[in-house]
Amino acid sequence: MNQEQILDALQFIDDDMIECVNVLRRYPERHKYLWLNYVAVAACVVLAIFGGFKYFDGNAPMQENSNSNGGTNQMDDAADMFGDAENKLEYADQNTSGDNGNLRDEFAGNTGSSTQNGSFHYSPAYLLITEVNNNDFKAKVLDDDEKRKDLEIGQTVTVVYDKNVKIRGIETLKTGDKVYVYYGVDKENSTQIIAYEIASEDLIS
Amino acid sequence: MQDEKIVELYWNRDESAIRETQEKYENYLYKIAYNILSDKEDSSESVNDTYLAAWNSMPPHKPNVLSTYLGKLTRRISIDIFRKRNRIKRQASEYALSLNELQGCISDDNSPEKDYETQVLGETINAFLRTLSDDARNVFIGRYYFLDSVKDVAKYCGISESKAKTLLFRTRNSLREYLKKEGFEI
Repeated sequence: MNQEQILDALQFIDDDMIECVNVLRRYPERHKYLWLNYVAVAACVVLAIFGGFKYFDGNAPMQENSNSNGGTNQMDDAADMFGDAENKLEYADQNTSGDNGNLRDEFAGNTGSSTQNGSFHYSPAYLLITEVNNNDFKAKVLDDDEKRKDLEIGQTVTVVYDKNVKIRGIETLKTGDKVYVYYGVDKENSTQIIAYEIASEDLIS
Repeated sequence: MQDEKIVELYWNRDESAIRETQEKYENYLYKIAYNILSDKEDSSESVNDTYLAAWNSMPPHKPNVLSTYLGKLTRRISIDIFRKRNRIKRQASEYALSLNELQGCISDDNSPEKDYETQVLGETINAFLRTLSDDARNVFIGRYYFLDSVKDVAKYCGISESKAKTLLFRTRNSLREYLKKEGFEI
């Protein structure tokens, strides 16, 4: 048997099968799987948007409104990042952020990145209080395995806070206490951090 | 005019049957011929021979689907013209000439045995095609019966060219296995 014989044998194909193709030749079928291309493109777009969102959510600075409502989303995100701490710490409420939002607003939206004023961090620094004053305290930076930035372990910093700072689980700050501080770093003075929230280590650990 | 009426004209030996056939099917038949011969003159000759073959075969034949019947005639005539043309070309060589002479020692291409063998093969291929998916069958028939290009086949079957190629590749392999199983020597 050779190829020619096969081509000759095709002469015996049933009429209905030939006619079926003949109809297609006259009235071509629309591309059956064209929709798959659109699905693939749509999937890529969704992936790109989602991926981009996750990237900026985790790495890039987030813009926070400078008005009194601005802190909420960022604080929610911070709460998500802290996992268990979310259950123990009550983060600044949107409507009350004006109370303690001044300092935070000053450094807001600048997670891990510098701004004109300094940098703002979602992760708390774990500190050992060494000296307590009226509106500030000196503390030593402890190792806490957190994503602490701008501070070195063992470094002594001055923590300043205003009347609006939230203090959780602590009645009075005392020398020898270990606390977690959510803070911003003053660009002008790297040994000084500005606290917008101070929490007892019991609440965090 | 409807196919039944055209067939009736053939059966009544009315010469207008050829004119009606020409009006309705000339382009269709020409395309089949041209796919095989790739030559305008030969294709036109093939189509004209088809009209004559139709005139001579109806009666006794009374095709259910006139287009398919005429298409089969054109296809067979075109393949014959193609082989004849190539044979003439080959005759220029002594090697080809000697092959032609030796062909008589084995079997005649047009022997009844050969025709029967081809018919059995055709029926086997027919049964094989019934086992295929619609896409695979249409692509196979489009490519090897109508001898359309893969690109054209893919286009009118509504699939990509690469998919058509894949289908053809798989179908050829399946056909080989099927024919082996049916006892044909490959």
